[in-house]
Amino acid sequence: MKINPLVALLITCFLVGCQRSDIPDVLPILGDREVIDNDTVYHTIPEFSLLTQDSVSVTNADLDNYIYLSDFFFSFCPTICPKVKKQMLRIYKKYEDNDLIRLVSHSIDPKRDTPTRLKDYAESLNINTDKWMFLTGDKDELHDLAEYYFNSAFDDPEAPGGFNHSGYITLVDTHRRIRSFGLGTDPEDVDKLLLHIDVLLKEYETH
Amino acid sequence: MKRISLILLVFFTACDYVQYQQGKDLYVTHCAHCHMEDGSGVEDLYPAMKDMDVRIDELPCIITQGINHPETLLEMVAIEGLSDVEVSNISNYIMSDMNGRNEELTIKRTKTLLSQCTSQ
Ligand code: HEC
Repeated sequence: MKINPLVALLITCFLVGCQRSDIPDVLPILGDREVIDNDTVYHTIPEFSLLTQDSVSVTNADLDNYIYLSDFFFSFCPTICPKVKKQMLRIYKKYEDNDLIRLVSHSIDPKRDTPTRLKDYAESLNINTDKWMFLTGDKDELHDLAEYYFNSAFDDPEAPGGFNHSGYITLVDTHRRIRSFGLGTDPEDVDKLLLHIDVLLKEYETH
Repeated sequence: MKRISLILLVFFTACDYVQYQQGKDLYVTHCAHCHMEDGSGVEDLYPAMKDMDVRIDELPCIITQGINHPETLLEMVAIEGLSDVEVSNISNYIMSDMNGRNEELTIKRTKTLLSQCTSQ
């Protein structure tokens, strides 16, 4: 069989072009790191103590056996939050049956987002709060925590709704380390995050 | 003539024809971040704009006054700064392009409806 060189070239270009070179085999560990006594110390999520939608206290020890997706929002948010929630919902649905995965949404407006209100919010999202929890607590703690998850959140009377904040969804492994993140307002960026979650899951399959 | 309409139909279908382009642009700017670009909404928090029970006559006042169903958690606040023409374009976009309903608000009708909103 003779193959037209031009066709061969086109097929090659097509195959190469289709390869997803942006998906690594192993996810990097993100954030600042230090070497102390020859040990590398990575950026990790610090200790926190917050309340769930059921007023149950939660610390990060409760999440140590899971890989989880985190976002920051508030229920009165007039801007980006619904889009981020829509993407969190996408992630939730994809991994609904995978017990290693959890989702954690933090309110940055704890004064108005009481546990009761967050419970209503979760119910309106039609999700199972064993898998996807909503956290509230001390405002400063929540705003500080946002930075550790590569987000920012602060009071801003000029901003719509009274808070200035970002909409990143962050992927945290069982060692409290950040392995990936995506912009929750951008479905294509979340496509990439979903592929990254699959890569991270492979680390746990082999153990 | 038949053939022309067939060609037109194919053309419009193929190009994702939008009847109310300005309405669509305004919807994307003012509504899509809550109700989503495709009108799918977010579960019971932000209602879908597709297949909703709302009638076209109700849309102008919902847009300019907001809406607060007592049985739901969230309230929609009034969307400010839209002219009567823009309100009618958004309403027509939602009903015709999103819901495929053959209903249209004229600007005159929109003005009448807006003058009768029961302010909350
Ligand atoms: C900040 C978020 C937000 C924005 C922006 C927004 N809405 Fe809403 N909208 C809501 C919420 C929340 C509800 C549900 C209110 C309730 O249940 O009381 C709602 C309800 C509605 C309803 C009633 C649906 C039903 O089934 O009863 C319509 C119609 C509607 N919105 C249209 C629009 C249009 C058109 C725009 C843009 C001009 C818009 N909304 C902008 C949040 C928003």
